[in-house]
Amino acid sequence: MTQPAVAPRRRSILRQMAKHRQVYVILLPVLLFYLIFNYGPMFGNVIAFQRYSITRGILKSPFVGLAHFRSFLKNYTFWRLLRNTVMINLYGLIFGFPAPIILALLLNELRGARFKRTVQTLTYMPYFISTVVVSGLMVDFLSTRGMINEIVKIFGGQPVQFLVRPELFWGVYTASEVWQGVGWGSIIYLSALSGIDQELYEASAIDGANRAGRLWHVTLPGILGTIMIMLILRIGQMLSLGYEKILLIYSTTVYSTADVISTYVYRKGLLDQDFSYSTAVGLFNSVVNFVLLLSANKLSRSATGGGLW
Amino acid sequence: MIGKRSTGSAVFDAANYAILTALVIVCVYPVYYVVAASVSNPVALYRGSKFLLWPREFSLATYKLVFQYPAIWTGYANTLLYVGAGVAISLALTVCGAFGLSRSYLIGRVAITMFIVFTMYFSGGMIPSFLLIRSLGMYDSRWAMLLPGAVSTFNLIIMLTYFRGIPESLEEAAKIDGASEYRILCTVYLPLCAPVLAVIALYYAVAKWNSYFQALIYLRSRTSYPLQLILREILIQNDQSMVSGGGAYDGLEAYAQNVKYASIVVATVPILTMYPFLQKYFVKGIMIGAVKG
Amino acid sequence: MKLSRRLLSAALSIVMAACLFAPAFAESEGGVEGLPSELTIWSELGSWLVKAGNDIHASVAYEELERVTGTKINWIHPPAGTGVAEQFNLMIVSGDLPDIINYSWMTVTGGIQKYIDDGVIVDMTPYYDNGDMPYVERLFADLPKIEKQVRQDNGAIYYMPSVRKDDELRIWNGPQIRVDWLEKVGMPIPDTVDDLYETLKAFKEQNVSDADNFVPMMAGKFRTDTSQGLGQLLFSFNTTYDFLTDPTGTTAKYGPIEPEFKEGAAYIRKLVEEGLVDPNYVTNDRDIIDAAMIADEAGFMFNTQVTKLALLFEEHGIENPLKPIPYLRGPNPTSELAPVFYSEAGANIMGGCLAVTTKAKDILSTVKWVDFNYSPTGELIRNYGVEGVSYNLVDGEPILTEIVTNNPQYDINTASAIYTPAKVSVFAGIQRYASWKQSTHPDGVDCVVQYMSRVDQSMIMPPTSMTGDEQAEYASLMTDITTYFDETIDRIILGQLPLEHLDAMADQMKAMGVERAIELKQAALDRYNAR
Repeated sequence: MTQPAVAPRRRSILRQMAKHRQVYVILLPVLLFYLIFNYGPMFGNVIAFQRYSITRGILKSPFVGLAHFRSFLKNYTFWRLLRNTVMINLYGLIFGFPAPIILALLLNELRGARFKRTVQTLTYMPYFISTVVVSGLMVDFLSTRGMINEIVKIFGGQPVQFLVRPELFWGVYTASEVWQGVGWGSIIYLSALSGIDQELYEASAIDGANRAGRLWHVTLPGILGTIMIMLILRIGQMLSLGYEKILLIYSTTVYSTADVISTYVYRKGLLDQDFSYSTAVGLFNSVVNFVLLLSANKLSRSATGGGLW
Repeated sequence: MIGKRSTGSAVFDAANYAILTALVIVCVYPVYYVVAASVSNPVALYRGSKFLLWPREFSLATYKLVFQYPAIWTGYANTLLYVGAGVAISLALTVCGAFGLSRSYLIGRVAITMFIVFTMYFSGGMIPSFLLIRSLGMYDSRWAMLLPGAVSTFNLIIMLTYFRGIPESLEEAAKIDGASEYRILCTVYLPLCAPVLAVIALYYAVAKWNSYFQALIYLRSRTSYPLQLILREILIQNDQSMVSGGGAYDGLEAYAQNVKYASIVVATVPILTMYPFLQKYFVKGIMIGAVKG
Repeated sequence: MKLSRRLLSAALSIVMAACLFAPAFAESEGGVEGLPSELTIWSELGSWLVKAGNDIHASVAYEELERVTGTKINWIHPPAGTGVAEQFNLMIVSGDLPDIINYSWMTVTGGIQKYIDDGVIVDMTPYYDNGDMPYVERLFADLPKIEKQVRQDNGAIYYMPSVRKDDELRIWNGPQIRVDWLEKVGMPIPDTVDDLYETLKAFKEQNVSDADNFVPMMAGKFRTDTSQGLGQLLFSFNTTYDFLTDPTGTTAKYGPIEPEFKEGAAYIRKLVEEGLVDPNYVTNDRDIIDAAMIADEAGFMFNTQVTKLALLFEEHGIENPLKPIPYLRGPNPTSELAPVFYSEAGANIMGGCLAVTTKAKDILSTVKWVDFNYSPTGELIRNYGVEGVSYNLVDGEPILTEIVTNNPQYDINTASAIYTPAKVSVFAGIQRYASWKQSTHPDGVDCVVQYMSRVDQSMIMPPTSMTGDEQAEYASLMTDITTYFDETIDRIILGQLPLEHLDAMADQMKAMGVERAIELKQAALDRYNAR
């Protein structure tokens, strides 16, 4: 009985595909791109389970199972790397994430359109400056003889060794990220704000709500959806952020707080030629990352009823 | 917003202005400082306080030095190539992907979307990526700067959201006229999405202009290095001295510090000036993405 | 008609010009026999030539070498600075190899033997034994110590290094002090580290400088062998931050776990604690340090030569007050000499080394090309460039011209990189003191004289080598240990951890296997001494 039922359906699918074949032609390059450049390296992760040798290549290198993962978990840097990775991201989440929202809300309260536009344009500027330049400037400005300490001294303070003291690294790094991203990040919230129905404001004004009340009852609920989506996206990237900058500004003195999983992967892979081990550590990072994302999504669904999917 | 303003409200406004002004200073001063220092007399800058309100003893000597630096020019040319060609490739792929995924009659749409979104959260490692690029024969080729990472899934999703918001009635008319999918994409969709195209082009351009890591790993010919890699040579000093300066060498780079500032200006100004031109599209483009997203 | 005549005359004049600048060497007629017509070479470009061009072709001397040998070279250059090791490793993984790799093979990750075993580079010994490397043979015959340094324990020749024929070239880093301030505080040139302490204290207490940021001593990262590293103060205490030998050169030791290290570290910590050293040394780079010296913000440092600063001072119309002084002796000196531990001072070979890869199109002719670099012609081109352009023969001695010593467009190091690359190039070959002296500021030459005056090189670990397995084990131990050392020592010096933590540090290093690493180093040293 099932045979005749399936056959026409399959035929109709094929017919439908043939009818819209142009769409598949348009989509094909993109799918190929993802297959090659995104999925290709994932299969290359197999060397994490091998003792990869240059001369033998992926196909002939001997398998060692989970040996590299075990040796990473036992390495004296493991807990430190994990802690630093999580902490730098937590700092970003606690300080970096709300900053653009606050900026957008402050801008939204401005009355003068000209001032608002000026502030917007100027705060976007740091976003356009490259990681290489920002890192170079940080090393220059944050030295005890640098521009920032010069200002500290003008106000009567003692120079601070910003990039030398391990306990300051998380803060300094996060501050630089906020500096670079706050203006740019606010754009998306500003557009969400501009999409809020003006009648809601008028209605709440008639109800006698003051500015704080309007903020609480109209503005925030109006952009809550955007905030939640950005939050989940952010959590999904938790363990994979910004090592390019860390690579450029850290030094051995601050390894105890600045060394993160991805910088370790870089050093092991590209400097120490420990290709398999480095790949294993990277894979470990990806897996933890993915688990975090799944949990965040689940949490969001049970809390607000909506998630990424 | 009409009506009387309470004292609390006035205080808030004043504080708000103050905070935002402070923020603007924090964002602008470092940039201003770099410009001011780059046109200062290097010797005067060496000797004085590092806090500048105005250039100290105006001088363009450093710029003359920087423009003599051959790598700056080849770096510039390469970066322009990577940004120009790269943005074109990226935009084309992103538009194709978003258009295809926005078709309601696409078979397996959910599966394909998952296939794409998955890569946002799970990626191959650095070494496997390198091995792939090498086996594709793209190691040390300019293609290695254009193809890997050409599609940003994030941008693809913004575009997709935008396409989905375009009413179907618009394309029905075209379909009745017997237009092909290509025609619908080119004549119906693209004209409608100029703002979002501008936004995404800018996203891609900024990312390509500023990237150095890909070049560091995939390129080995100096002649194809982008500007950022050259900047990195100038800004971030070598402290490992793998092959040190060939022995009894004595340093002589009187303007080193200023060269840093001047090359930052040279490398950053073009991308900074792009934004104001695209700004008008910007709010519109992002807005639609945000509201629908 | 008119045009073609003009063309003809132009062509003629080019031919004539070519005749005028006729080849200076007999070999040059169509190149040297037996050398390849084309080679691909991977090499770092070096920080000076970068200013003149995008590859070594910007160097007139290497153009000359190409012309003389008749071998056309395609250069591949990694980014300058920290990217070199990464680029090298990536190239090795890619398997996409040039004919010759110029790299720091002596200290390569994993040890050179691994690259032989993996079939990356070629063992040159059979070619040497076969008489295909006559110039290297002559070099070894003239200077047996170089042969000892170049050959591996098993007697093999895997690479040909940068060779400093003259011992003066081994010594180029050391202490420098503001002599004008010494006069101001009425003190003599410090002789021991205790003298230095008193001097720095006097600098501070008597406010020798009115600069706001004044601190008596500037320094850079603790463990940097080559320039301004703070750790160089340890040397006077007969110890260092790396491996060393006993004075007889037979026992291998690792500095940080030896008792002398504590004394040295305590001294450095005292200087930092009393505000005599810039506490920012950890992130100071050369530019920051030089800027401070110029701004009268510091009076003492370790440095490579003084030319840059001398010229900067001169630009201010001040005669360079910063002078090199002899190496400092320890608190209880037992001899007139003061030890140093720069690894490069321990050998005549260093830096960039040439190795022929297994992918070389024709290995024999490529080996011959490597050999030619060590010929008298190769040595002359590398040290003096082109006759009539960058040097003239005066009484049979090559004398550099103004195009090197007073170039209108480039600073002297960039000019050297163009015309006399031996001075600044990372590309292997022979370097001579006589040429170096001519293109160096008198204060720079004075550095060599001062430092040579009482240097004790007996405790420097020589360039030993290990087998592939030994090296792998050694490297896996030492990468973790040195990383741990780097991050711990600064925290101790800066007072973030107590001085007693040095014991804990030594214990931790032992737990990480430093004793095994010493064993391996000892075995390598024994083999080296038996060469």
